[in-house]
Amino acid sequence: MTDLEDKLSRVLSGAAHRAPQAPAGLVATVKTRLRRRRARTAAVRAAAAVVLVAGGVGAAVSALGASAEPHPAVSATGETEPSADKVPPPIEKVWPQAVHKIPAKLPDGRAYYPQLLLDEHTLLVMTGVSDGKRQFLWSYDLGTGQPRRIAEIPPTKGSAIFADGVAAGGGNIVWWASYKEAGSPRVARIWTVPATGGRPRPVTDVPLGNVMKQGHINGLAVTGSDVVFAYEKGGVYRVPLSGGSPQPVKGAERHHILQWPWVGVHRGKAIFRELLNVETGERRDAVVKADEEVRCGVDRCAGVAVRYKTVKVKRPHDRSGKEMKCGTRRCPDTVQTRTILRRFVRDRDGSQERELPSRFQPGGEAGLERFFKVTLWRPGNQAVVTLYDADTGRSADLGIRPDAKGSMAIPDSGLDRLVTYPIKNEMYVLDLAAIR
Amino acid sequence: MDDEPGFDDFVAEQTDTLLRFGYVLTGNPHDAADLVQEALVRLCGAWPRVRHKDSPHSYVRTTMARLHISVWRRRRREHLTREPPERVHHEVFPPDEEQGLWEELAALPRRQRAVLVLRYYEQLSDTEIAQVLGISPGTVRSQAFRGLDKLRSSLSSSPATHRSMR
Repeated sequence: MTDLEDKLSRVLSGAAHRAPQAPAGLVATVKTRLRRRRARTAAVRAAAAVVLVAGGVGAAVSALGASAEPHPAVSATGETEPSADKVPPPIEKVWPQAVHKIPAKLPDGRAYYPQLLLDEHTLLVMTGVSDGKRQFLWSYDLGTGQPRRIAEIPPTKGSAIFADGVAAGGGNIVWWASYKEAGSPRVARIWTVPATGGRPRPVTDVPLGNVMKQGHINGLAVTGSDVVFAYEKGGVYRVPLSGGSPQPVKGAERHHILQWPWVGVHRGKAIFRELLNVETGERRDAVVKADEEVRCGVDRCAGVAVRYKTVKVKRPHDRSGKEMKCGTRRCPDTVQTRTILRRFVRDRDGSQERELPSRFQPGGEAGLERFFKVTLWRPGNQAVVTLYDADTGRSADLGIRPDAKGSMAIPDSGLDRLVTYPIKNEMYVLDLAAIR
Repeated sequence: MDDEPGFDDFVAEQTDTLLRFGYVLTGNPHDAADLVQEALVRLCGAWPRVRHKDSPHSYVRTTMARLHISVWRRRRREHLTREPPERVHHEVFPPDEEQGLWEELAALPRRQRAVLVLRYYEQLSDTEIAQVLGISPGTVRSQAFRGLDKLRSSLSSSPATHRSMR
């Protein structure tokens, strides 16, 4: 352990002693909340979405604070018999044309992590560090299931630096890794290799300066003969693939990259509310109402309308009756509750609004601004992950079930057409663009 | 729900441990209590299935870690606590440098903090952390690296420890 790691261990164990004490009546509170959550009439949903929105990783959690008292907004709700969600047919039946299955392991037995589709039948994957120090890029032919090794990711000296931000375009693959050499400041080194294979070559070193201030970099994309990227805190840069020093992209000094050439800024709880096309200069502001929390794409925004309510709570006390502090301050005697009023997807201009399923959770976008991950519940509180198509209203069961240990795979998806997840020995590769 | 043997005992035995984990994960007693309660609600729902398997404790820990780093919850929380944190007084945590580290932890993105807490508080391996957070071991390593990197550079940029860092 380094000195820092050692200190960190000490600080965390020390801090644990300042943790709050268990509130009285916790078991009863927990059981009450679960009963209410299982009760699912429309009236209950409207009145108490704050406790009913759970499910999946993106669940909202009501801010009950340390008080074990039932919440006012919750206690008013009625209770009905639990009912299970209707599970849609399997994806192989609903959208067979979108489903590819390939072995979940490489020929050498290593696991891999899908990155992107190089074209409609070629998947780019990267090995992980859990089974081997050397890292490789491979591509899979989805038609034949045949893998091909593209390149070895250049190893780095010493510490746990890992390739990140894999992107491709114009026949080139790019990624970055963080480097620090003695006597010089930390940099993000951008690498490239032809998609057909070869030896990776460094493009440029991006100064990271104060990572606390600017963060690392993200949003890597290949555009023509350039690589573009943004600092995590905002600020878009461009550098030729052939090398050189990164130059700021004009008008995008505070921006994040959405999908090149679209860059944008967030406004409060509206992610990518303002967009700029850095090639044409076109601007697109999204219509967002005051009570809405949305994540916007190039054409649409998806999200929820919420109502916050401030309610009084008892300040937390420890077992000796002494009031506990929040950090060094007194804890607030009010908390905010959050009720979801609507779930929707619509065009950026506010038109064409469609309702999303009641089990939709913010952050459930699955790709192409059209597909959404929705976790349903079967009897016995078994989660079923489904894919919902907002254009047709159809949905499909992805087939993911808890394993023997009760943990479930999480489908990996971004803004693009690719969704992947492993089931047993197979990797499911969904190409959303194949769904008409 | 009342015919699920063992759940009440589990809560009685484990809540303090879970609250401690919640506290180092969130840095805030309110969030810790909130997170523990929500995770226990889910555990209660899954109890018949989970109690026969290896560890309800790791089920809850996984639920807490994943909930805490979920994107929308994060944004909401940040909104609710936007005012700048006050400087912390020494009587809470005597050694200056360790207090500084605790404060810097609060500035880390949640996923990075979660990785560091699982590694240096719960003492999990990177493979175990990957399973808990549902991310690849490579991501665990890069997140841990970046988290440590930020802590290191912010500590080194504070005048008190400047000379010792390179």
